[in-house]
Amino acid sequence: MTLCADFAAARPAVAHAAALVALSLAALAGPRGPGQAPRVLAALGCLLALQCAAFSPDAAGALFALDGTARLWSGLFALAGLLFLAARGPLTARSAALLAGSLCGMSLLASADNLFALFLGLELMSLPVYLLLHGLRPDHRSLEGALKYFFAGALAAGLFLFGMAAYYTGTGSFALGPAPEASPAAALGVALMAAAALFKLGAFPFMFWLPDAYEAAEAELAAFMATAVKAAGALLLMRVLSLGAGRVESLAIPALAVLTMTFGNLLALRQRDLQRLLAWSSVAHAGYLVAAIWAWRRLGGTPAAAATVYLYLALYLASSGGAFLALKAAGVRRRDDLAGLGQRAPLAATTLVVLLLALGGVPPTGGFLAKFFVLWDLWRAGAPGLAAAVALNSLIGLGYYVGLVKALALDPAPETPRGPGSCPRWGLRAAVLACAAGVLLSGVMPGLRDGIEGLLR
Amino acid sequence: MSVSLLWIIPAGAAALTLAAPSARAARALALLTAAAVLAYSLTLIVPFRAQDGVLRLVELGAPGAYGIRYSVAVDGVSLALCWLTAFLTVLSLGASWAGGHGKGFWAAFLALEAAIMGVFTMQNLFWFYFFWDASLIPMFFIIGLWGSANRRKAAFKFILYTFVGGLALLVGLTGLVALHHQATGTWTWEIAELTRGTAGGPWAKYVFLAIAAGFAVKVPVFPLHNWLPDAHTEAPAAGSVMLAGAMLKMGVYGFLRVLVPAFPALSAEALPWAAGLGVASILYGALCAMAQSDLKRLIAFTSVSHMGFCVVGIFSLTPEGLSGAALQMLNHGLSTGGLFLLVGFLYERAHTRGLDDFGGLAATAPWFTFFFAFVMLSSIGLPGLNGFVGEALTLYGLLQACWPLALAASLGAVLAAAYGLPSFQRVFWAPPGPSSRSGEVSDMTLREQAILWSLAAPILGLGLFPKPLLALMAPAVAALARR
Amino acid sequence: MSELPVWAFVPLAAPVAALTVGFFLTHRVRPSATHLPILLSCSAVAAAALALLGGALGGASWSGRLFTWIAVGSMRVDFGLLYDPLTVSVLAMVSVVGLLIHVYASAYMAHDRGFSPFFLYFHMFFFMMIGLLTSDNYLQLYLFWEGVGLASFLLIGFWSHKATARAAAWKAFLTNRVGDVGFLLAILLMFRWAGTTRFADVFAAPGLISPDRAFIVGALLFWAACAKSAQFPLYVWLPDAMEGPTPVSALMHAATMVTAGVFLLARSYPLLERSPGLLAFIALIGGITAVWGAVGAIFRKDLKRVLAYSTVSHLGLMTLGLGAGGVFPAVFHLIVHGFFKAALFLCAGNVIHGLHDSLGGAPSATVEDAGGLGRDMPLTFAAFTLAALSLAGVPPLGGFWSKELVLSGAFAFPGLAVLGMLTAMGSSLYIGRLLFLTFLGERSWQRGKDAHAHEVSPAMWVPVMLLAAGGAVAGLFAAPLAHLLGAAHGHPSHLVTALSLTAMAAGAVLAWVCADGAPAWEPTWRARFPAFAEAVESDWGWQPFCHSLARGVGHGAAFLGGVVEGALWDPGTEDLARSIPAAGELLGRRARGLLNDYAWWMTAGAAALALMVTTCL
Repeated sequence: MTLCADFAAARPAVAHAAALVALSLAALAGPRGPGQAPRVLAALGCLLALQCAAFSPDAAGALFALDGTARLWSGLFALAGLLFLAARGPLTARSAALLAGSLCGMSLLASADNLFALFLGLELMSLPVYLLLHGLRPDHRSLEGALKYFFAGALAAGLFLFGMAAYYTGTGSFALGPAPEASPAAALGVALMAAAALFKLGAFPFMFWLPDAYEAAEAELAAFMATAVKAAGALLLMRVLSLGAGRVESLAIPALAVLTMTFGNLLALRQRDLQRLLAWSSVAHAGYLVAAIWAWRRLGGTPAAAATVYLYLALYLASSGGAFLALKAAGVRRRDDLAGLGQRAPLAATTLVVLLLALGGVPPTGGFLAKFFVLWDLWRAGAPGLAAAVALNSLIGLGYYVGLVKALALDPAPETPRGPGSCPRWGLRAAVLACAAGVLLSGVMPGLRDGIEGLLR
Repeated sequence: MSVSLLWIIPAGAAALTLAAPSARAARALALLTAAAVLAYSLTLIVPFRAQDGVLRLVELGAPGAYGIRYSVAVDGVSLALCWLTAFLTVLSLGASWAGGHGKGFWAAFLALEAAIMGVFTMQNLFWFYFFWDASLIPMFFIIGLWGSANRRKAAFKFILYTFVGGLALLVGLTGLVALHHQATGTWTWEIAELTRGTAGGPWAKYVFLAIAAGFAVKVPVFPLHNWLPDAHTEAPAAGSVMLAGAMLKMGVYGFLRVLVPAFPALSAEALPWAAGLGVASILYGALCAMAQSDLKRLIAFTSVSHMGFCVVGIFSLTPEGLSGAALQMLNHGLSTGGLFLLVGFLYERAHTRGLDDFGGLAATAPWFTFFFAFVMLSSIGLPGLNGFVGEALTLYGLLQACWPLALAASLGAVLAAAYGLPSFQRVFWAPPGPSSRSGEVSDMTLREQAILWSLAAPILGLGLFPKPLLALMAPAVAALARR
Repeated sequence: MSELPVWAFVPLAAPVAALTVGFFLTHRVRPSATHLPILLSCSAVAAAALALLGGALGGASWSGRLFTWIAVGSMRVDFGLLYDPLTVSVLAMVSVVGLLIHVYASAYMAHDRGFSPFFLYFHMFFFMMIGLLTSDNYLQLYLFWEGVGLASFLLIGFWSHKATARAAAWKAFLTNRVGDVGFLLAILLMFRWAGTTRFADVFAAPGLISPDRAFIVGALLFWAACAKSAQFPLYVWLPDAMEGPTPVSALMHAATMVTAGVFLLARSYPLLERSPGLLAFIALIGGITAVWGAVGAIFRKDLKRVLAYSTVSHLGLMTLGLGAGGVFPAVFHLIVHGFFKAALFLCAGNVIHGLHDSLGGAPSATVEDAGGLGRDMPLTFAAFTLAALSLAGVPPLGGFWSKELVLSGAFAFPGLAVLGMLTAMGSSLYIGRLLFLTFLGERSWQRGKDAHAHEVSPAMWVPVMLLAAGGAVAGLFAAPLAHLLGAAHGHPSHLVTALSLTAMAAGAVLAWVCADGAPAWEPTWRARFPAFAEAVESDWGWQPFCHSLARGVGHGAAFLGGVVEGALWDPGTEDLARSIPAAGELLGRRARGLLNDYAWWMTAGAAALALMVTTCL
């Protein structure tokens, strides 16, 4: 019966698995070209997962457990999937299947209660993304990006496995609860697993692959990777740190956080290609996330601090994902294409301004809310230095976010008119508008955080 | 009679103007809203008088975690500042009536007014900071889109410079709440509770400096001022009026509302430094103003000098000094607003701001001469007009606190005459420059005269009868004074 | 101090009404008629002033509170009116002289393009002066004090197309502002130590009893009086103030405005009395200014500049009188001087007006332009002679009586006596020189081919004659004024009279010898001693020193505004901001896209993390 219990506990993953099976059959039997059917099927899978995450009762099996954290994170992943599907338009059955597979892996990760399940979810999430990276736009640059991503991912998976083994020799169990007794082997295990999680998050020094992969990927896949995969990385890091073996609150993590955010911001300042700029900006945001997770750990892993991390991820999904999609909708790729966008496509320009300001953490957008609570938790965790570092880095971040806003809103249009932007499909436009609206509305609702905290209890 | 309407009406109207059918409809809606907000803010005096206590017309939203809740209230000083903001918004919209701007222009101004009203009425530090930073975005677009020649660089510099201050302020405010928690064990972002002087301990000094730096960038105090001349020179006339008239006051209001009450002991201890910087602002601003050849840049530096008086008045911590600072905020808003409007009208006609491009306007434009002389005299502190009252009170406060600095500050009055009158002479009495010779500088139209008359009335009124306004602000000020 | 009667408000209400009607009505509709409501207001004020004088002679004095201006903490100021003997006497002189000069101005300025604005500014000055005299506390006095400064700025620079007029106006306002800072600090110190600025309360306040506090406040008030009444260090603006139209020079820079400083000292006499050192210092400065002005007047060529330096000299005399002899001699000399100096200036105006054609419309005339006008302008000549004799101190004219009183006061101190005598001699010397060169002697102006001087219209010479007559008979005012001010009025000792008369006679003879006896004397010594002439012209280097001081501040500002702000500060912060992207460039070189670099970074990172988590940190 434990199998049924596990099935019940991992319901959102099961929903995605059903969509995966259906799409695989469609890929084998059905027409090869891209169509709307696979897109609808995958979307159904996501909606089903959302429904399971929202309404199914709590359940616990041997490997999986459906609790508040699992619900919220699965919901986040499903939303990211829907965003990808809305923005992508026609999709081949094979790609849809890969997407469903990746979402299933993420949901498994969310409801995992055991290191095995954690590793299973991690790998099931990563492999399809490597394939999708090349599959959606088969050219040599995406192949290069995918290969780099794959090799780095493989190294990280190796680290994770080695960490699991060390942890098992140290503690003798794979359970996710706090480690019974702190042995050096367990600490080594936690450290290596944390390294793998930091890789998934894209933190220093594991993030060098990230800009190449994001630049080579299609905009919506880059959005998916920047948001869903990063959220999974954050969850993985939180699960690993909650093992508690070794000095999990050691200063290494804040040091890495500061290096990550500084590295990400400084490099983003000089980028000419917009997608690569957003890639480095997502590295910077990874830095803020690692700081927030460390503060969560320092405050004893309370739901309140976890709510801050989740809120940051949710708003980051809307702003960063939205930003990637808005660039595609506005049809701009290089920084100089931005000039005069305000006159050419006022709606696209306005949404891009709102999303960039949200990434910069400027009120009245939700970005300010997220950054405020991270700063607030850092103060509560007694790390004013780190708070000041986050503030300083977000100032550097403002340098290029407001730089882009200046370019697109204020700079005059170049003399040689750049041909009308390709009229984006309604799906992409709807997704971008949804993100912008979400960011603006959440700006005036600090109560969101209290709601999330309630769910996490 | 809720105070929240003060920012809700303009914010809503800003959205509406974006959706307005035509630019003319947007313009009409904007001016109507601004007038409505002004009228509404003036009627607030009735319920305000009905209640007692320092903070009145209090409204509280649902309490959130850590004491973050929507709480709004008004005291004498913030009500007066709301009147000033509403009044200047109506004037600046009226002044750019014939500018032929698009819908965005009017929406930006209404959004700016909403944000500034928010800053002056919020009693919760979270929402205070929310509106504080939110006010930068409309100003960025006002300077960036509708400014003059190199507006982009000025807008970019303006927003980054003030964001530096904003982030210092954010770290400072979070620190203040943390210190409060250390002392009392409760989390709260309510200004009323935070300003009971509980914040202490080793970190208090750094938190005090962070908050002070955050506000000082906005005031601006001497070393942190050089975003102001660029922002003013490149902003459109209406933008400069709002920037000088209302936004600079947010910094001083921050001192009055947050910094001094939260750290009374440290404020008293910081007196020589803070008042010293204030005096430095007075003298440096006046000297730089004397050396400018661009009219707007000159007025920008006079703003630095005037705000120096406010800083000096506040950190004297005497009832007279604090009332003087509060009154000087309003005076500066009126006189500098008037000057920027006049320069804007001149710019609309001659498309230049150079002092030596004009000249000899006394013969061709008598109304310009009269109003420019009148407002400039108020700005250099001629007794009988409003500038003098503020300066006399702040100097008196500083005299009680630290008399050598008062001597240095009183030099500011001489330097004020040194930048005020020569600029008047160069523009109106000197032999005609290129713009005057070309005859494009026609005299003021009826609309412009009406705007300036509506400014001249309070300037003279406050100069001769400052007592009622000082009585309105007295309870709020008495709570802060330590002497 | 009985309550204010209704007509006590007339001196303030009438000018305000006239100005309002003038600005909003006549200036718009019929600018040529702007002077009518203003003349009406002047006569109303004169009538009210004389009525008040009558009442005051009967022993009455009035004061009343108007409204509370400020009530903040310990700073409480009520505006009110005060008509005590000092106010009433000076007000009478100011209003009568003001009325006559307004009538004169309506004729003198008739052809000027800016006739209407001139009268508005002129009457605004008149209103400010009345306000200054009648205010009952220092702050209200300061308010009108700066108002008078503003009016002098507008009127000196009235002919704004002239660069010298603009510079003179700006110099006048700046010098006055330097003095006013002292006044403001005095007021603030009064609040600090006495909590009030009402005259009666300030003198009675315990906080200001101690001599050194009285000295500080008194010295600051004297510094302000120096600026306004052109005493030695700060007199530099008065000679240049002659750039304004002649009625302005007559009313403001001779009779009324410049006496405001002496009036302030007279008003604060109870405070100054407390520190004897201060009174002696004031007297000394007065003496020095008197001699300095006299010397300056002797060597000037321009008619109005001679009279300007003469005014500086006589203001010095008044200050000397106040310092040495008390309030009565100073105020009496102030009143008498007001009459005859106004008459002299208006005569100069007549001369300039009369010589209009040969001067080519120049606003002022030098001694060389005029000469031998006695026959062509008999009435002006008569008035000028009468006023000149009064100035020189020829008995029985008014000037003799007031100068005697001042000198008898000064005789108490040896040094001051010498300065007094020198001034007496100097005044008769320069006024005699002016009289002989302008009205007697050979007609040097006839060298111009079509030149002829015509007598001025009655509207101009009647006020002049009246003022000259007033100056002559002013001696009769001594007794009633002494009674009013409650001062002992003894006859000056015969020694003082004898000495002063001999000095006066010596001066007159010297003038006769230099001016008429050897007309060529002046140009010759100017040619032979150019350095001396240049030194005299620039007040022994004091004027250029002040100009360089002002220019120094200007250069300082240019340095701060230009170099520090423009070149160092502004770009400095921008370079700071640009350094961050530069750092980005540096880091950029690490991410070159080589896979084995990435792998190396990852393993190194994992190893470091493992080390730190498991063992040390």
